[in-house]
Order: sequence, then C-alpha cells, then structure tokens
Amino acid sequence: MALIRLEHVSKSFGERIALSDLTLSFDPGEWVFVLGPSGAGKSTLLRVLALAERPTSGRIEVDSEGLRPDSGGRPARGRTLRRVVGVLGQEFRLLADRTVYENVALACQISGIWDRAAIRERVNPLLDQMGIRGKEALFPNDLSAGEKQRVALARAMARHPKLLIADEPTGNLDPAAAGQIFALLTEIRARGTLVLVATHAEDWVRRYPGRVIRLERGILRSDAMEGQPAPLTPLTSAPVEPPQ
Amino acid sequence: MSGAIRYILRELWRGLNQHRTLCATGVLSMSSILLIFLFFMMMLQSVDHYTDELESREEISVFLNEGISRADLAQVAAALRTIPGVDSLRYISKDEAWETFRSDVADEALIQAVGSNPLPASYIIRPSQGYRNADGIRTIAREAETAPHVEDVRYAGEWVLRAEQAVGTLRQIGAALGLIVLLGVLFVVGATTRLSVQTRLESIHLVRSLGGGFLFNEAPYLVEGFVLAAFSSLLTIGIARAVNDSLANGLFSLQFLPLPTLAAFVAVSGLLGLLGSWIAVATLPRKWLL
Repeated sequence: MALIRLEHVSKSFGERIALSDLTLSFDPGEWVFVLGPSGAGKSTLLRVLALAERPTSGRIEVDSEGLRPDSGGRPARGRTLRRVVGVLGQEFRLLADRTVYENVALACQISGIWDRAAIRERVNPLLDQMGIRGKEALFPNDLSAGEKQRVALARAMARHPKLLIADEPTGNLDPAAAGQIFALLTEIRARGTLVLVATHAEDWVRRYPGRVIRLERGILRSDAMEGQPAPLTPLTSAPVEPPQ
Repeated sequence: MSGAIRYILRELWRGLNQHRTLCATGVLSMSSILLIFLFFMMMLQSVDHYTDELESREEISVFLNEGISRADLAQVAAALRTIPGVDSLRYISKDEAWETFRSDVADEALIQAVGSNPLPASYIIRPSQGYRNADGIRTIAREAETAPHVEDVRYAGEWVLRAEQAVGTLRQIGAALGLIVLLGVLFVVGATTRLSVQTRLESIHLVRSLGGGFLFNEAPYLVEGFVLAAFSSLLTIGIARAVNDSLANGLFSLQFLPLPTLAAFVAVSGLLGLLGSWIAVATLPRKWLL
C-alpha cells in the first residue's frame, strides 16, 4: 500500500506553473531521486509532499489520509500529518541559540513527547547513529558544515518519520561530508523509511541507484528505476568516497 | 502538561535573557505611557476625594427675623426639621454671631464703626449624605425660604455645582485619555514584541516548518508580552509612589490609588501586553524554511 499518493496534482504561483498534473505514488522504504534543472519544480514537488504547500488542484493522500487542496479549513490535520514527514534542506536551519541536543529534542517535543527520559531514549541513539555523540552540549556555530547537516538529519529522524525528504542535502558540504550524509540516508531507507532526494548532481544517482523521477518545467518527463538498487549495508565508520 | 509549561517558561527566560536591551527598552516605553495614565487616575481620585470633602462641609444658613421670640424659634426649628434632607440644625444667636464676627475681623476700629450688633440670629442646616450636592442643597434652601420667620437663606451651592461639572469634564477627559493610553500601550507592546519577534524570525519560521503549533510559536511570546507589560505596570506604580511621596512634603500631593485598583491596573496592563503580542505574532506571514 502506498505511503503517499499524488493524483493529478498541479501547482501554480500566479501565472507560473510549477507542477503540472502529476500522478505519483510512493511506497514505504523506497529510495527515490527527483532530478531536473533549476526551475523544473523539484523543490515545489518536495514542498507539496512535505505538506508545506497546498496544490492548486489535485489530491494528496498520506498514509491513507486524504488531503485535498480545498481543505483550507483543516490546518491542524496538515500539521499533524507533517509530523510524519522529516525534512532535510540544503541549509542546515538549526536553532543557533540551542545546543545540538536541544535542537534534536525540539522535534520530539513538537511530536508531543515531553518526558525527559523518553526524549533522551530517542535522541541519544540518533546522535550515536549520526556520529555526533559527545557534541550534544555544543551550539551549531561550534560545528563543521558536515556535523551541522548530521544534526539536522538527526532532528528530521527524531520523529521517526515515514517519509524523509532531502532537498539538495549535500549542496553546502565538501565531498567527504556529502558521502557520509548519503551513507546515512541509505541506512535510514534500509530501516523502512521512504527517502526522497532532490538533487541536480547525477553522480549521486550513479553511486546510489534507485527510482528516478525527472521533471522539466513542472512536467513529469520520466519515472523509472535506474541502475542497481541502492545498497542496504549499514553505515561504516569509514567516510564514503564522493562520486567523481 | 507540566512539560509544556516548563517549555514555555524556559522559552520565556531564553527570550528575556537573550534580548535584555530590547526588553528593557520595551519596559521603559510601556512604563512611560502607563505613568501618564496612572497619574491621571490619581488626579481624578484626588479631585473626587476633595469634592467629597468639600461637599461634606456644605452648610445652609437660615437667617431669622429681627426680635424673634423663643416660641417662634421652636416653631422655625420644627418646620426646618420636616424638610427632606435635613440632617441636623444648629442655632446661632445674635450674640454668638457678633462674637464670631469680632474674632474673625479682629479690627477694633472697624468694629467700632459698625456700632451695635446688626447680625441676625440664624439656624445652620447640615444636609444629610445624599443631599450634599448642588441640587440637594438648592432644594433644601428653597424649602427653608418658605418656613415662618425666615428673612433670608444663604448657601454656597453654586461652586459645588461648578466643582461637580469640573469633575464630570475630568472624567470625560480621563475616558478619552484612557482610550489613547490603551491604544498607545497596544502599539508600544505590539512594536516591542514585533521587534523581539523579528530578531527571532528564523527560529519562528523554522519551528513552524517542523510542525510546531500554538504552544511553540505563539504561547511563549504571549506570555512574554504579559510579563513585560505587567512588570512595566509594577514599575510604574513604584515610580508614581516615589514621586508622590516626595511631593507629599511639599504643597501638592495626590491621593494614591487603593490596592484593588492597583491590582486591576497591573492585570489590565498585562492583558494589553498579551493582546499586543498576539497581534504581532498572529499577523506574521507563514514561511516554509526547510
């Protein structure tokens, strides 16, 4: 059963059409790249999938919960569903006045987890997984770009999302740090999370093959499996080599 | 729920601690405008009190015919006592009036010039509580004029009426000033909170993007607005008290407001702060950051 389904979804901003009549379906545990040049509609598609943007027309179904574009009177429903979605952007968007631990814990609190022990049980394994244990008391400005992105990834995962959306997640990282982020993303996907990555760097597609959705001016050009399935091996401590 | 309250309090502390200068500026701005209003309320209270005091001293003099007999005096007193609103009567004989005049004037040459005692005997009427106003005094005076053996009736009701009119006008000014101050406090609190919100704009958008609702985005700012405005009002009360106490030794001082009124002042100020903050945060455009 599909985790998220788009039926004839279109989105325009005034006269400009960002997405045109897209019908797509995503299953749990899928590894999906969204490719296309600038202005192709990648970010708009991700924002629609993250329930941050209402489509102009069409229907979105998340986890069998229908969300129509005309359901403007139900923002709480959209916000609740948004909590099953984790988002990772190009910019790390961490709260500068909170520690690493507090940044990740905030996502738990937003999900309604207030018990300190429960938050600790959820946050600490994530910090371990992301390789940032020992840095929980530091503030974002004390971290490298790669570490910031791993904190952002830990925050996105703190809510145990069924869907993880990554919009150009390695855009601000050096190749080594970018490789580590992709390794972590594949590990997250291996645990059953649907991972959608928007990028214009096709090298990553060759290294981590999977389903590839190609967009151009908001129109779906292709939707097919490319290359071999993504590796499901767990993350090793050695940095992953970046694609050449 | 306690976790949510702890979160709000921590956010409140974080906001106040990180934006100390901004908060201090906001408190001073709010205190300035609240101080004007508080002093006006004190002035109104003082005028009210002063008017009450003057009204309580209000008396009506009923002058009697020359050579009135004892029997007629009793008849006049009985007639005056039947007038509604008469609380008590005091008789002043011709001789007592003359002695009072002599001690007041204290000028022997003038007293010699006047010669024999020309002053009449009189009754002084003290009105009861509900009649100690211009209308009440005027009514009693008119009735007293119709009593037997009465030559003249005098009272100082006109200036009481003028004082009442002045208090009425002051009340109207107070209502208008209150409205202006209310809008001023809303504006100042709104502007202060907006500034505070602007400095944390990215955090707000980010928390909203993460799915944070009222508790995470609005509640901490509403509490902050309430706390800052309530603190400003307490500071205002402290300043007003200090200024009033220092003036008390001089010629001029105002009546300080009673505790229930001061408590209401703090509560209303806090609520204005909350409202100003709510307007500032609720009107922020939504922005997706992730």
